[in-house]
Order: sequence, then structure tokens, then C-alpha cells
Amino acid sequence: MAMQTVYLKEHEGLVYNSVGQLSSVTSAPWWSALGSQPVYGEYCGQIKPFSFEISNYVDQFPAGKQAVRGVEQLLDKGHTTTQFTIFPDDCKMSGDAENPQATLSLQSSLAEPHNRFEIGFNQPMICAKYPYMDQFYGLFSAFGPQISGRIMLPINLTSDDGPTYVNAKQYHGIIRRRLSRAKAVLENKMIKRRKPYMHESRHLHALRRPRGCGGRFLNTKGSTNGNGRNESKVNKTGGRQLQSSASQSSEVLHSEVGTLNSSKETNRSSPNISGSEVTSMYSREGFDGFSVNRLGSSVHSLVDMVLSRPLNGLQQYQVTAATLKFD
Amino acid sequence: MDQDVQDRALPIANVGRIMKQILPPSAKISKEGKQLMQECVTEFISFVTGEASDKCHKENRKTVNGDDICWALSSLGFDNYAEAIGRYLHIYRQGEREKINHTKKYENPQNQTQINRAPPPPLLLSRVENPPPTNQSG
Repeated sequence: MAMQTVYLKEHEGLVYNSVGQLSSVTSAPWWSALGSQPVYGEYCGQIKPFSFEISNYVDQFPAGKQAVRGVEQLLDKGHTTTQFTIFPDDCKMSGDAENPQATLSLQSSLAEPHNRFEIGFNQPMICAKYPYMDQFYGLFSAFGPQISGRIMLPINLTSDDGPTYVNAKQYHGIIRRRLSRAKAVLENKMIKRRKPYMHESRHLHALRRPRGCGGRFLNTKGSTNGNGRNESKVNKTGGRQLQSSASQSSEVLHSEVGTLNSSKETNRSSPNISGSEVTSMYSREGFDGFSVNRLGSSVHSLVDMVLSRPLNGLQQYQVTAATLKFD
Repeated sequence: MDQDVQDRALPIANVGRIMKQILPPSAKISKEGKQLMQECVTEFISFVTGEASDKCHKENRKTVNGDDICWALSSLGFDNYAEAIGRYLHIYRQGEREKINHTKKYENPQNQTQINRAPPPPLLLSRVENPPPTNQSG
């Protein structure tokens, strides 16, 4: 549906361009440049008569003999009658030409094409917004036999694979999404790089933390756990090795855990257990080796932290999400 | 104004949590698996919302509601998801209607003395899992 709208707009632009060419000769190279595009190949047969029309207007401008001018006027009327049957929008032009007053007809013919010529300038801007139009026109001529229930998708410029057949219901949606992504790329809205960290201050804090051998953070309060905690630590170590390529993201999480650990009260009955559980909760490896009861106890520790110290937006969001999850 | 993909995508922790719900407790998900799923679900949301927005644009409406999302899913071939989302939308609207009725009772001045005694309205906590995008290419 959007394609038909674009096609209609383009057609109107062509009509205005052809009318604008009649009045001025200096814009002929732009017209020839438009004619050379393969998108407008269907209108090549109609472009040549207008160039012939331009030559007549050029001959009319210099002053000549009365007899020669009379003959040219007769030829001019004949050509205008032939040309104006092709485009019904030019009936006004033929009416002006038939007007006996030569000066008024010249003024009106010079005024109207300028207005339409200005409208014609909008056409390339419309074309620039839809870079996939060339693919559409090229594929209509080369459309092969259809597979039942599948439509051949236009070949993507980035990939050299063959044509891909998609669900017929999703064809228009996929084309629309391609246009949206291309538009976003043109407007530089979609930068494909992924940030290694979300907040600058946390990144700086992680850089300042002391590290031990192997690059791990010190003072994580996980080494003093009992035998049961050693198994969970082994699991976490295995998970971290898988994420060695994204060490900066894990550093951000570690800095967050360090902040929470440093703000804990020292007079709690079991600070080590709650610290390790908070570490496991905020890590992206998930809750692998913990039971539901331990998660409930960690929720209580989170509530205590909420009451003891004000949190920023992200931490409040995470605490709220964790609390709602266990209700 | 520059916006990178993280600002336009879902939070990756929430994506990982949703992926974790369907897996056994001992399963693990890699970082790039979560990142790829994050991009997939973001594209799927844009795909379905674009279809619904196109329908609203044709009908000269400015608000995309739940019925438009259900229609878009069925229009794109995701009939199973459209049925599930339709049932969820029905239950959700019932909960909203009950909540509004409770609020009207409390705002009535004749029932002012019963505000402290009446129990709070039930909170709707049911969720529908995010369906994965399935481009059926033959």
C-alpha cells in the first residue's frame, strides 16, 4: 500500500517536471539526467517530443519576419494540439495558446510553469527517502513462478546470498521494517556498537578497585565461606571463565556488589552468607545452585539494605523487580 | 541525537531472566546468547508494532491498543500467539474493571467508614511469556 502511494506521488512529479521543461531551456541537463535513470524507463518514449517542443520555443524567442512568424504560429498550434492530448493536465496551456492576445498568453504561460516547476523540485527529496525503490522495479520484471504460500523477498544489498522466500503475510511487514531501518541508519540513530558499560562513574570506580593475581577483585568476602559455599563458588568460577571476553561488564557488576557489601552493617549475625547471596543474585549467571528458602532470605537482606541506605534509580528498580518476583 | 542500540533495546538482565524461566535449573546461558536474543526480541516488537501502527494509520487513529496488537499478530501469521494474547487481554481487562469498581466504592462518601476495614484490591501478577520471532522461510 505504501508503495502505491509513493508511485502515485512519483507520477505526479513526472507530470510537473515535463510541464516545467517547456518554459525554460537551462534546466534541460537536469531533465536528461532524470531520463537516464532506469526507474523512469517507461516514460522514455514521451520525453523526446518535449525536447522537440523546446526547440520550437527557442525559435520563437528571436524576432523574425511577419510571414515566418505566422508560419511558426501555425506549426506551434498544431504541435500543442498533438502534445496536449497525451497529458490532460496541460489543457490549460492549450487554452492559453489559443488566446488571441499574444502578450497575455505569454505571461500566463510563463507564470504557471514556474509554479509547477517548484513543485517538481520536491520529487528528488521523496526519492531520497526510499533507497529500496530500485529493487522493487527491478524485481517486478524478473518475478518468477511463485511457491505456494511464499513470496520471494528482494535481494538484500549487504548479503550476496540467493533470494529468500518468506511468509506471504509477512512480506509487507518485512519491507516496511527494512525501510525503517534504512531510514534510521541514514539519520544516524542506529549505532551498532555496544557499550562495554552503562555508567561512567561505576566504570571509574571499578578501575580504582584493587585486584589480585589473575585480575579478580580483592575483598569480595567470598573466600571465608564453608564447604557448601565452595560448590557454588566453583559454579561461579566456571561461568566467569565463559564470560572472559566481556570482563568489563562483569567488572561493573562486581563494583556494584562491592558498593553494596561496603555499606552493610557490621553487627549482623551472618554477613558472609548474605554477601555471597547478593553476589549470586546480581550476577547474570542466574540462580543455579540455590533453593527457594535461600532466595527468600536474600530478599529479606535486600529489604534491610533498602531501609538502611537510599539507592539510586537502577538499584531501586532491581530491588523492586526482585521483591515482586518472589511474592 | 545519537542513540545506540542499548537505549533502544530491552534490558539484557530482564531478557536473561525470561529466558531462564523456560530452561531447567541447571542450564546456563552465555552472554552472546542473551545479546542475540535481546536484538531478536527488539526487532520482533518493532515488527509487530509496525503492523499495528500501519492499521491505526489507515483508520485515522492515534492510539495503538491491545486489539490492534492481536490483529497484527494474526495478520502476520502468528495465529497461536494471537489466541494466547487475546485470552490474556480478556483476563487483564477483567482485573482492571474490578480494580475500577473497588476505587468507585472507596470514593463514595456514604462508604467512608468502611475504607479502613475493606481489604485492598487483588494485584494482577499474571504474565505472558515473550514469544520468539519465527520467520518462516522455506
